[in-house]
Amino acid sequence: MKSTRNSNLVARCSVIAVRGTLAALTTMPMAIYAAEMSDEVRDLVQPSSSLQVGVMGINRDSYKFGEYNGLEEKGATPNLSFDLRGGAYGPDATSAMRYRIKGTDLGLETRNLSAEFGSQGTFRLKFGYDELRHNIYDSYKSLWNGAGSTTQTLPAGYPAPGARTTSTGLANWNNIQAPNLNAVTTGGGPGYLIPALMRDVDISNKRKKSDLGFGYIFNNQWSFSSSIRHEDKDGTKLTGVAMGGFKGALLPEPISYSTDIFDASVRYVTDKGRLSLAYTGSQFRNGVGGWTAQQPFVNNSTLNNTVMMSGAPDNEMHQLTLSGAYNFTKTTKLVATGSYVRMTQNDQFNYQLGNGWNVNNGATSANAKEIGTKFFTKLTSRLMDDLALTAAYRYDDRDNKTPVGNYLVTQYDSPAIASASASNNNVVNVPLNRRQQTFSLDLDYTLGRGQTISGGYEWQEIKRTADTAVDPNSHEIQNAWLSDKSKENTLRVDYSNSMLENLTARVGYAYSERRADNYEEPALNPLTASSNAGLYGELPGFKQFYLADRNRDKVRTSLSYQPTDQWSFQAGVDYNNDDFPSEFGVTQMRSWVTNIEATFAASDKLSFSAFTSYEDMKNVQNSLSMAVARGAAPVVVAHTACTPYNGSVPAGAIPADYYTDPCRAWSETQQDKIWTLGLGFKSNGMLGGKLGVNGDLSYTHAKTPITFSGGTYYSNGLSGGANSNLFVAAQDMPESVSKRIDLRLTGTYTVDKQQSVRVNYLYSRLRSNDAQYDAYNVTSVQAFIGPGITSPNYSVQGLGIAYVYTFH
Amino acid sequence: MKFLRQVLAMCFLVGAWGGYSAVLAATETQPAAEKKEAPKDVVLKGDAKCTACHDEADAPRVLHIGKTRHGVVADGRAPTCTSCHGDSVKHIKDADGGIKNPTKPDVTFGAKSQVGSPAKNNACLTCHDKDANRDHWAGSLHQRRDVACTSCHEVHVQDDRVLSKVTQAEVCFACHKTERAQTHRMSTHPIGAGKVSCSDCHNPHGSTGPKLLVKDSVNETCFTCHAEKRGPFLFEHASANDDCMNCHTPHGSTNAPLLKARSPWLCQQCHSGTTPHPGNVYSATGLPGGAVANATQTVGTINPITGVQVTKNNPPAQLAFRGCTNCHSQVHGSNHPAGVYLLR
Repeated sequence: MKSTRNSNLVARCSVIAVRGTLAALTTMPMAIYAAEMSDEVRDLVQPSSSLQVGVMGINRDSYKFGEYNGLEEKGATPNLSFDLRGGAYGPDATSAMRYRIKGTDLGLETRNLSAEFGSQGTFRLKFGYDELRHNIYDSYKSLWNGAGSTTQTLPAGYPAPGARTTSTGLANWNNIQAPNLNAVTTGGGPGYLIPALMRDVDISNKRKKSDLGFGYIFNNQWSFSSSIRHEDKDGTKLTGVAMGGFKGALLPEPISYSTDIFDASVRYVTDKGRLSLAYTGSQFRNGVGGWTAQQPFVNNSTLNNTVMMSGAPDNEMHQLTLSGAYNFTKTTKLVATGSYVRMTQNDQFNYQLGNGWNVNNGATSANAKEIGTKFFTKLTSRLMDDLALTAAYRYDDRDNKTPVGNYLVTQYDSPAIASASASNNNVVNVPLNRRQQTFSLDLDYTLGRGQTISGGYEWQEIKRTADTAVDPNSHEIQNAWLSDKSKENTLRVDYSNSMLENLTARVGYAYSERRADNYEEPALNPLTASSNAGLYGELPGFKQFYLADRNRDKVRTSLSYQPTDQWSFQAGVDYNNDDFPSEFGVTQMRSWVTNIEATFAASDKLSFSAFTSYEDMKNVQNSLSMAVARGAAPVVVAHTACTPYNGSVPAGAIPADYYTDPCRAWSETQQDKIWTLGLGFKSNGMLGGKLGVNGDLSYTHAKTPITFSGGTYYSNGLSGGANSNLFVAAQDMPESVSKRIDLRLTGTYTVDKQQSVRVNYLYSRLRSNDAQYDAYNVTSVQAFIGPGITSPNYSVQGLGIAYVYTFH
Repeated sequence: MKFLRQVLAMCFLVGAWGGYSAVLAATETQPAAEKKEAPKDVVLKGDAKCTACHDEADAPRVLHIGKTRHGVVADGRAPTCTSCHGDSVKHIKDADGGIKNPTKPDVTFGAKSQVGSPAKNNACLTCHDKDANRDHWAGSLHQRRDVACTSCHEVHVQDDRVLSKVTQAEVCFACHKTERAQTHRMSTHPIGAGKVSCSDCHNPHGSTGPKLLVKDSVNETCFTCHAEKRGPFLFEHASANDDCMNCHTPHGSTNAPLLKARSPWLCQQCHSGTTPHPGNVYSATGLPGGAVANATQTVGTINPITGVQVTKNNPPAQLAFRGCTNCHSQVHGSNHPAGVYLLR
């Protein structure tokens, strides 16, 4: 403001010089406008360009640290970034041409390059290129040669298939622990050979994305825009491969993805409304159709001892969208959008023909097709000065038109002969359809200055249907949508109050009730005299959480307080609770989060900030193990007291009681308890304003306790009799913990108006454990070759130095 | 004082034409009684009435508007100061009258502004309401929550932080603190690395999708980067077909890859009601050395070489490593003729 002017002579001279120069420039032709612009003027009104040359190095190799940042290898990496801008500037510029070319981290595998050129108000041309490397595992070990290729073979020295039998002792090739590691003999069994032959293989992939955009404004009413994006993703990912039954391994699947997305739209705009027609096309191609791996277990000559996996199939999507908006009055507006979407997938099947297979009468592809129809409309209006209304309706239908076929196959490349009478050999595909409708009505009422109360109602209906198919073995396979319709009603209210100029509070609550229609309740499986009846028995009373009845509570609170110009505080608590009134299945999903943040501005040049977040999430599920010992009376082990069959142990117990047997009931609770702390500072005023320093420190401590109650019976390996099944109480899993510290310090020393030197220091440390990996070695499971992966841990320091040149 | 400034400015106008040194000379020699001229525009057409006072000494950032798209005056749509701040007649009158604390401009945008969000936003929407991106602003959650355009956007700076992938998240996290914390977890999208930005998935200006998503649904939004999971597949996985968020959480998780819970228990949330193995309880008793791992074994295998009884410990594979997806890896759908159980 005028009153804040100082009379510093230097400043005044600068002001005058700028003014004078600018005024002079206005009389010049445009061509020399920029050329004769003084530095002072340029600093103020013309975008600056910059060039940054430097080196970035870290002191240790770490795949996890370099997961997304391109810094996984120890040592220094030269780096280059630039940002070049040009074009016409100033109040008398007669051209609207501007350009920008920008490159970031060009020395790293996360490099980005972009360029933009256009005459603002007329056309715009954009180009972009981006790389992103994703490191996944560097502790993975593979038994196979050709890891990451489409043909993965067992290594030299691995016994020929014919030599791999199920004989006990040295060489039971369905038990990779046989014999134990003590048996170091010539031609030792898998327990010796497999660990010895496994080698480290890094699992990573890389995306390379390029895009081109063009927009043209014909006049005030008509405009056109388009873009095309091409992305390649190559490398590996880890994929679980079942090999002829309950055997398998995690293998490096080759990835060779290519995705093209094309957008084009024409738009017509008037003061009252607008209309646009848009097309979006997306084409996905996978250079890997099928990929094979030699199976390392017992000889399976039927399928040449090879398993064949199918890569993600090529697919296409085409969408046509018509959108419009109309302003009835200044405060009443209607928008509507309708889309037609066609998704197809007709990639050829990739498989090896098994004994007795009949693949949909010789079909070579699924000829899959899904048609989407979408409509969205929203009316907004200010009914009164203090009352605003928002009403919206959304319709989203996906109709899967994939032909239904019959597939007579064996699973997981089993050597067995496919048989129509076998329980899981004769299957049909089940195209799934989904239609969702949502209507919402919200009112916002201003009670007074700074006070608003909002209320809303939402109705949602989801219809899920499956095209006709029958699989007698399983309801889930017959129709994976176990409920064909759900309806959900939500009421919400929100109140906010800026009670003081420096204090704002808000509280909101929403309650939803979802009810599922016609949830398929499986009948109790008919029991036979023997133990487990039916391969796919389903538990009456069990409901899948995303289809089941649900009562949801949501609370949102926040407080913002700025007692002085220097201090500000923010705090908030969010609470979510989903209750599922199901007897079995998920019964609760709950989370609450607390956030607190404070900032302190010591001066214009020095500020501090701190935050903490604590999130506690929990989900609980109940179930009952039906599979074990249904035809025999189990025994109770003294130290794991459980009274089965409602107290009639064991005499009098009948197999049909299994559904109410409390010793089969179990409950699992998984929690995430996570603290996140952050500290930051920023200083621009050191060394007479030449040195700016800022730093950020974050610390995350995450724990994942998984706890249990109940248990179930397990066979002790003895054949028959009452002692063959023991009750074993479930035990809590070892807690998974991760602790992560990240420190970033940046100092920028300004040499002069054009030159500066930037120094970055980083320290990052991760400590984690995960029993699901750490407790296993490669032969811990008898018929599943372990990947050798361990929880990531690292401690990395990094230093970067860069020279920055800024110019016009 | 103002008069003197203008006189001196004129001196420098002449001087600038001849070069900087001549300007310096002119400041010493120009007669003081030059004819008064109206101030010139500095950056925008018609900005002189503002920049006469709000110059680089008073508020240098004001002139930075020239560095932005708003400063491209040859674009006929480019605004001037009053386009956004209002005519502010009283403000100018007070200032011209030498009042120390003049009335504020009609529309101000700073943290201490007493102007409500609707009025602030009107200043922007006068032009930007016609952009396709703003079609759904009215009635969007941000609009209804009184978020102002300037809550996120900075207008008088060369680089608006919210428009850069690298810095955008900082802006969003100013309010979305839970999501900020989630990005610090073991499994995240590369948000911290500046390779994925919030606006890759969300349109903060309103959209047809839930949660301000850029597409009509969660799945369509995910498929923009994960097109390999789009299908349609020969054999669908119902929960994946329904909503990616049934299993995943987008901002960060302790359970890789961005899972809401760990497998096998995540899978059991839908499948533990089915026999045989999906319905088993997988607890620490199934870890190597656990009671279950041993209980299922027949004893008695003797290593014929060492004569020692083999310790056969067989933990269930369903508990190890990736849980169910050790074998049922095609959880997003399968196009294999034998893929009904998502094993191929």
